[in-house]
Amino acid sequence: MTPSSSPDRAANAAGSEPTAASAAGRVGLSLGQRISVAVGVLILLGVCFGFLKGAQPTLQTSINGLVTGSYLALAAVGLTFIYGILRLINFAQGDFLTFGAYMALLMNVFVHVDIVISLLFACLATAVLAMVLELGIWGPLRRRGAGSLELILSTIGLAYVIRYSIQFVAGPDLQQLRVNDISFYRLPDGVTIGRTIALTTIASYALLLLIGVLLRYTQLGKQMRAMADNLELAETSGLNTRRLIVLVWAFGGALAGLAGVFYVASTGGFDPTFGFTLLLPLFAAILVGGAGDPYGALAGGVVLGLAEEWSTLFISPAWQLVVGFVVLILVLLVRPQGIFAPAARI
Amino acid sequence: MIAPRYMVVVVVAVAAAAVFATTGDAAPSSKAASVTDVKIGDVVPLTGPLASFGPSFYKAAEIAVSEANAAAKAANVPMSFSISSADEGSGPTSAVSAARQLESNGLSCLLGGTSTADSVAMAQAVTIPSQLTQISPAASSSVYGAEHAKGGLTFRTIQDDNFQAKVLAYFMAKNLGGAKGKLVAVGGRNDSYGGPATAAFAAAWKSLGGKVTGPVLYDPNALSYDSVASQLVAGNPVAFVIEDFPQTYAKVGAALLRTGKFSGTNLYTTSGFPATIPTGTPDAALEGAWVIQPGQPTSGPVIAAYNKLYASFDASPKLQQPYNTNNFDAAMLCILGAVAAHSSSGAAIAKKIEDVSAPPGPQYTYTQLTAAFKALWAGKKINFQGVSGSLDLDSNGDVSGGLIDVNRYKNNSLTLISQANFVNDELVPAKG
Repeated sequence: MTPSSSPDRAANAAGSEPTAASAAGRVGLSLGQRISVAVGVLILLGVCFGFLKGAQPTLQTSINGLVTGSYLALAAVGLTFIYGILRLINFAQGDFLTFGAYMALLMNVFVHVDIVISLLFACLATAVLAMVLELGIWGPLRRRGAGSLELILSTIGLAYVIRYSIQFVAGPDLQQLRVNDISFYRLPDGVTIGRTIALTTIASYALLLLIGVLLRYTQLGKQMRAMADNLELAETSGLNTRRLIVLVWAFGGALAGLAGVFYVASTGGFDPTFGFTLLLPLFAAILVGGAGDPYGALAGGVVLGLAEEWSTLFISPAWQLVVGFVVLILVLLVRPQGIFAPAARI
Repeated sequence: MIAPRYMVVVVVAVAAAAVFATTGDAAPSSKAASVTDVKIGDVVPLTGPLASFGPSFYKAAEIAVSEANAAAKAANVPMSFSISSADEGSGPTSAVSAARQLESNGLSCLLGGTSTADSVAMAQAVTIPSQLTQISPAASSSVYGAEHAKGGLTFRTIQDDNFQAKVLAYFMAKNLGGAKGKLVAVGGRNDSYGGPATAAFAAAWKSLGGKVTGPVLYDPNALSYDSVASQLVAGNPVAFVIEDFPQTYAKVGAALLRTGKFSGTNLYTTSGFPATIPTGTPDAALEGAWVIQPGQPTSGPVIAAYNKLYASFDASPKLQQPYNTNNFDAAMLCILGAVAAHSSSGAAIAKKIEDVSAPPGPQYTYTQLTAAFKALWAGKKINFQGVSGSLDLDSNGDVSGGLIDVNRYKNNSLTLISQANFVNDELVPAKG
């Protein structure tokens, strides 16, 4: 066996669907079938709500739900990847979003750079931040035998450090990117959607699709999935897991930065605490979809987004966030491994 | 030779003279040693959704303490006053933590909080158990008002929301050419401020014959407000009443604009919006909006002196935020209560707050503080007139009546359009 062929074989083994490691005991639907069923159920629910509450409000809340779902999915994919590989719940993920948004603010508002370049800079900066934290803190902690509790506490501590460092530098006041967050498209039947929101939502879903393709068909994606399935086996097979873990952090960081910028560009003013308020919904999204599974994070984000917005058809919007967690509890009761994770994971 | 009995008399006389002389000399230093220190803690928002108000609030309270120390010296009242602050943060937890931090240094009075939720939490966790006097400059909800019944320790220098809601309904009816049959969308943050404030307005508007959508209450931490906005614009209301804080309204306002059925000119609120449209809030969401708030005199010697004092006082910020005078008055009431009580005890001060702020008694303003101190130290009754208004606290610890400011955002700034008193369900233009 040549040194180069070993990782390829490990990745190829992991890349097959279903993977060798988890094939045993997996009973049920393939990924494509699960996506089809989930989409079918959501459409059916949408049609039912349309009959009950009227087409216009249902269509409007459905669009709003898909928009919310796009932010959640984008940020949750990185979070769930880290969890899948390292079993590390990153409480600093919300503050990665904040960091990304403030990096974009720095470029867009203070350096007067175009929003697209600011967005790319924000992704890069957040990826670098995540890599630096992995190389400087989490990696050394793991090598010194730190357990899950110590690692989780370190992420909580870092979340505070990031948040209050941003606040120290940028102040607590509301900030806004130089984007138009109030112009909108008028769709049929009185339905509207913000222009920036439409753009960021389409970009988010396109990117999520691209991530899906990357994970499924590229060598890097297969290696990442191999690590997520079984880190030790992947390491034994010759994968350079240390390098890959750093890459996964960079990947998760970039997605968090992107999600942060998309969110604040779409919804308007933001302050240093906004990422923290998104943290619990992000956790809910990955648990609903299936912890550790990037397709699950996408599904979880969309399901939660739709559930929260559809709930306003029937109950006060004051309960929106609560509805998300009720959905989480129901899903965990019926399917503890989440909607998308295979049964073998539990 | 002096007889022994005369010797005794001389010795006694000399001793008495010596004692008298010693006592006479010692009197001032003994007085100086027994100066009562009244410590005031000010919980102000330096971070979080109301952060724009905090620095101005604290500066106002610092000015009050500085004036009080000068007056105490001039009036020969053996009291001194000191103030320290802590960050109210972004919610009740941080507000209580800030209050506890201040209370651990030994306090007489606690000023704050700025929001009702924070003020109630501080009252229940710190003020009432520790028997302090708490005076909030901005907690207008009836929920905070109810805390006064638990020992008479909590007060405020701002008008109650129920009163403000009624005034707003009458103002809107006049502005919209009557309320009968007119649909107004009512929304607000789902907390102890937004809930009661929107409910009070909805009741007041309906009592005038109007119709309402909502109240649509929303989570201040919601991920998106577009569905909230869709609900608010349903039925094409003629006007919108939103009771919220600037930081959340930045997103709600943007979502409302994205419906294409909302304009800032149709917005009415009693909320504490800042002097200029905050960064992050779309201009169109506030430009032209009507902001009906508790007012303060705009002319006259007291406000003129205060404005001059505020501008020259060596602390930032230079710009006054709404309600900073309410915090000045809150600090003043604590100080005057302490002088009247001859005590730094929070419970003793609380018993004097109503006495010093309401009739009967001769009126004093902060520009006559030395005279007010002398009168109170002598046990006389006074009726303190605040910078924010006449105050006249009632037996519930609430400001009774007072001026109403009718403001509107014009060219990005909150501009005073008129001032009025609310008399017999009507806004009567204020004199002067």
